[in-house]
Amino acid sequence: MGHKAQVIIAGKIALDLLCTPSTGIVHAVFQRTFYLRKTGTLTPAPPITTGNNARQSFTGQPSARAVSQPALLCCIGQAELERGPLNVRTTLNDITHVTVGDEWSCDQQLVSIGNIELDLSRAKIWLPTPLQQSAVPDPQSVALLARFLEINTPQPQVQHRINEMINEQLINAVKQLQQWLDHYQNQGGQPAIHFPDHLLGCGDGLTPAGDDIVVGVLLAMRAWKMPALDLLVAEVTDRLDTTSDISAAHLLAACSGSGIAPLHQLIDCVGTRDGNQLEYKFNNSRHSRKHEQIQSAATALCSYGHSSGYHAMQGVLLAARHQQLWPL
Amino acid sequence: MSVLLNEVRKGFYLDSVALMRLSAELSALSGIEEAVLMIGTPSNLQIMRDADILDSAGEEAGPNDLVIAIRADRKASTNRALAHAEKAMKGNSAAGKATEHRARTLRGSHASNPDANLTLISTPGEYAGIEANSALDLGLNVMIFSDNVPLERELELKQRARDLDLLVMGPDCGTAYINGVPLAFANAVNKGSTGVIAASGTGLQEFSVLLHRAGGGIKHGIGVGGRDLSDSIGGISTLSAIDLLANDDEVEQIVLISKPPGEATAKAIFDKLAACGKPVIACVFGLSASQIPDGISCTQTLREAAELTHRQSANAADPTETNTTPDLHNLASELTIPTGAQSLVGLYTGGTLCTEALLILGRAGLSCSSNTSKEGLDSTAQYQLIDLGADEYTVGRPHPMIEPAVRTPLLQQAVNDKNVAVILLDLVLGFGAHEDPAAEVVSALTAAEANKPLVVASVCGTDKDPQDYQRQRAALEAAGVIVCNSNSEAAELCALILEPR
Repeated sequence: MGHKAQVIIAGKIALDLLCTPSTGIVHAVFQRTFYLRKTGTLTPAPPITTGNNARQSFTGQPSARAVSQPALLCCIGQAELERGPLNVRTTLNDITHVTVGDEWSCDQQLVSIGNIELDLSRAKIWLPTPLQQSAVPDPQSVALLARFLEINTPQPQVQHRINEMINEQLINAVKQLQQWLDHYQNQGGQPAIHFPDHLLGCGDGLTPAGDDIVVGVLLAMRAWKMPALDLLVAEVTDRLDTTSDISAAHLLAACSGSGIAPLHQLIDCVGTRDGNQLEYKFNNSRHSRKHEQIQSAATALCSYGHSSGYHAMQGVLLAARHQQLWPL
Repeated sequence: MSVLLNEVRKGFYLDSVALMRLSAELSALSGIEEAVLMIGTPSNLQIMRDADILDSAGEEAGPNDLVIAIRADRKASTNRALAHAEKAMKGNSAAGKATEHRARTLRGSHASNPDANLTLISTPGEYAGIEANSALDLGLNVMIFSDNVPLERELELKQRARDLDLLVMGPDCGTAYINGVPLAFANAVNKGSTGVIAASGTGLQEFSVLLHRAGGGIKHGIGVGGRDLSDSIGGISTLSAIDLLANDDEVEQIVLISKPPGEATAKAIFDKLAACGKPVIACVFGLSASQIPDGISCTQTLREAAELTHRQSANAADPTETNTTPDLHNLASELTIPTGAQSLVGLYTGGTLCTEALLILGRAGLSCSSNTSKEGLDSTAQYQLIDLGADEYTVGRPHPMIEPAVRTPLLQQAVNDKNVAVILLDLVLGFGAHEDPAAEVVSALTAAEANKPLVVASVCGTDKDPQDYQRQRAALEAAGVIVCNSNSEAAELCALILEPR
């Protein structure tokens, strides 16, 4: 007997993938989600424009290696699945009969995966909330975010030297990324320092911590219109084959300006809405409310994945600190 | 000479939690020196190469492959660990193959269980209110396990429930007993004639456990949530719970466990309790007997509340467990703290237990700093009590009752700190808690240097709990831990040990 379910809400990249007549296979199955892979290859999606917010355009050109990048993926899940560009929240109550390698196809807004049928006809599309044009990180919010990260450092289940080595490599790679960004500013757009090769793909989770950090940096830099974004996008798209297909798909989405909803919410909170620093400085009640919002957004993001949310937040902090050093 | 084994699973994904859990399981197997599961990205392979745990098989892995790297004392150990990993991965991929019906919505679930009159909601806080409202629409009482529900939403839900003659337990209601049935994080205790109203959490657990051990039992344990007795909420659920317990003929007496209520709310609550027609015992932390109206018995600790409840019960049975209460003064005089050490560190998994210890130590003249107090934790204070279950310690990581290893780094730090004279711990057993919390404590203590601090603990559990109270207690005692019969006894003992001699 087949299982019929509705798609409730889906990210734009996922919906674009499913809405066009397409075929593919089930790429990976987890306890409450599974990934569909579309047959073929992809190039980076164009930047996502939301509502009246005309985002800075993506001018980084995909390199030749991008042509052989992993096929586009989307993640099918149940009602609790977080909103995100690749995520498809459905009314499915049981995914246990889905197996890696199962074929899927989509025709006339109906996705067939084995004996599952997903109806797209009433699906809502999810896009990140539009940001105001003049958003920049607020220094006190950045300090609060740094404190939150310090207090909430994830603890590994086992203390072994591999964890220490991963941390060491991440710290070094992040430092190199900071230097790379700083040199971009000093050298007028041409970093003298090599982009850290060991950042992407570094970490012991499904999406490596290094990738999660870069996702946070990419989204924050786009939100705050930081000039090094184009070059960072080019460097990342050039290295997508150094991480898993699933993580690469999330990185690509971030390159085009889209990540999971709590990450956008955090970036939104950290950026001042009107750019009027004096008002924030002297209006304590408003400040306090805003800090509560940051605490709440950071807490929500931290609960995402094992430590993906935490690491993405580290990326946001890195971008925020860079923006403060090199304001527009 | 150690043996290295790499196994590569092509195109195989596990989520991060499963990867790390399996890594931890393999590392804990006998003979295993190191066990790692990571995807084979170039960056990760380089780390494994530098760590000398990558062999020729692992070198072949790509970014979409899972590398299992095991180093052990001999080949048999690596093979056993690999077999464990493969079995676990097979189990993970086949997880939930059984096709039992699972409703997709609350309404669907209610349709298949039309006689149900209670729903337990555990969703992210921002959605809990929506689900709770749906439950009230269906005429269901509600237990909200979720935290982070906005105060205004809590008020709105409770007012609506009151109008509908229904009860809202929570938010952040982690423990409850309804008609003797434990819900969520609760201990296996005898069903009895006592009705309890508590914020819900370890206060209710400790009281239930101590009453069970004394020979009593619980009919209902209603968790109203930590904010119910504030003046913002006005004790709406507490007032409803008093009515429910007063009207239940099988409830012999009512026990209230809470922090101090708001001023206006306190009057309404105590007036109602005093007029309910049943014996009432109040254990309100921070309030003395003089602040509680006549006709309501007041106790300062959960242990006193359990003992008094049992003494007052018409159907008191013999104790289920026979751990005798030691003479704490004698015990304290026999104990020796490390020379020069003067500090106390309390590492708690239960918030109410931490608060209870804070008050007991305060009454004994030891002014403790704690994250449960309004002032917050001062990490330089001589006496510190830390609630590791508080939000600041649990965001993005498991609660220490579920994963006791969360406490281990702080415990190891305290054990090796020459200034620390006494370490105070709690272990909370029961449904939902870790299957063997004592093992983690024992492991941290056995790795400690000589001349370590005294470790005083209490175990909140019963002989009927899945973890077995006596087994947990014996494991701690074998590691040199002084195990008290209750949290209050443990705190009192610490006060006696540290008082000037």
